Amino acid sequence: MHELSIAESLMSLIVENARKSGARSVIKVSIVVGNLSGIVGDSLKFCFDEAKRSTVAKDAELVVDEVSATAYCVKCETQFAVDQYVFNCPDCGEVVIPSGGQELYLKDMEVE
Amino acid sequence: MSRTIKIEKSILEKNDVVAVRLRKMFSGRKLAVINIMSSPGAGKTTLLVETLKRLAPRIYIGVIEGDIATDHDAKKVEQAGAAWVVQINTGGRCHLEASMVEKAFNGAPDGLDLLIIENVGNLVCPSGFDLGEGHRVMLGALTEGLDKPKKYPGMFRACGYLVINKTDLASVLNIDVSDYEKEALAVNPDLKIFKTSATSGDGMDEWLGWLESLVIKGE
Repeated sequence: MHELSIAESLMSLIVENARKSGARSVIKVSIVVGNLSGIVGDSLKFCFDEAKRSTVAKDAELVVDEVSATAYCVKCETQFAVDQYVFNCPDCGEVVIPSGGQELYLKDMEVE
Repeated sequence: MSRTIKIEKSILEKNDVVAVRLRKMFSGRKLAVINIMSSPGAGKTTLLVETLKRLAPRIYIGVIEGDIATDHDAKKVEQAGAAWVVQINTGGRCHLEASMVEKAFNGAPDGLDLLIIENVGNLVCPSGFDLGEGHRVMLGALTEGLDKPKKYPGMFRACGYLVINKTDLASVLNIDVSDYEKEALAVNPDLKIFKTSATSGDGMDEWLGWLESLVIKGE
């Protein structure tokens, strides 16, 4: 249950920032998750709903913004998004190494 | 009235803060620390036991064993000659976290030369958690097939070192070790690779030599 640990870490970050900003409640939480980070958005949402109980974010909605890794083919001089772990240039088949895709951060929260 | 607060902070910040603290402490003690990760059954414990049998007579080695449950591995490792062993049972969690390592290391004796952290057997989750180690080692077994690097690229890219284990079974499996190497390097061209058979002893010298070099450098 990888996502449970992530949800707990996220929750402590939310609670800490809500306290710092004097928020009474958290309405929406936006996070960014890379598509190669190994985090499953739906699973994280499920765990988030468990972790948020009895906290300042108990009614909060979790919005997961999934971003793609990109790769650059030196032969074709083109940049393209990488998903589903494809490591070859779609045009020439050259092996390419993706960058990004490992993002996992709390972007912002809507509070009142 | 609602308002939006910008945060832009890593969700794993809490873990990363502890990992940085651990790394500083390990470096202050000149303690070499490796974090070994693999799927269940790849041979982490066997490699560790064979490593200890050969190195423990001259190197003071501590081991942190991460498992979901049981202390089977800790017992094996202790019998093989580890100077200090602590078992972390994660109670269902599929990976070790820096705070677990920090708590476990509290009881460590002074003077250890090398700390080996055997992570929970899993090719996905452990790669996301920095434990303050100096080096991350992934152990892949030939028996798992050639498709693992491309199926689990996150792990292969999170590690600087790869041990390809169970090389003695290459002919039975009809797998060429160099094909596994090629697949792994396609995902992470910077990997330094060792090829071992922990049971036959093949390739162990290079692996042990590397560990000893870490101890000499104290990193």
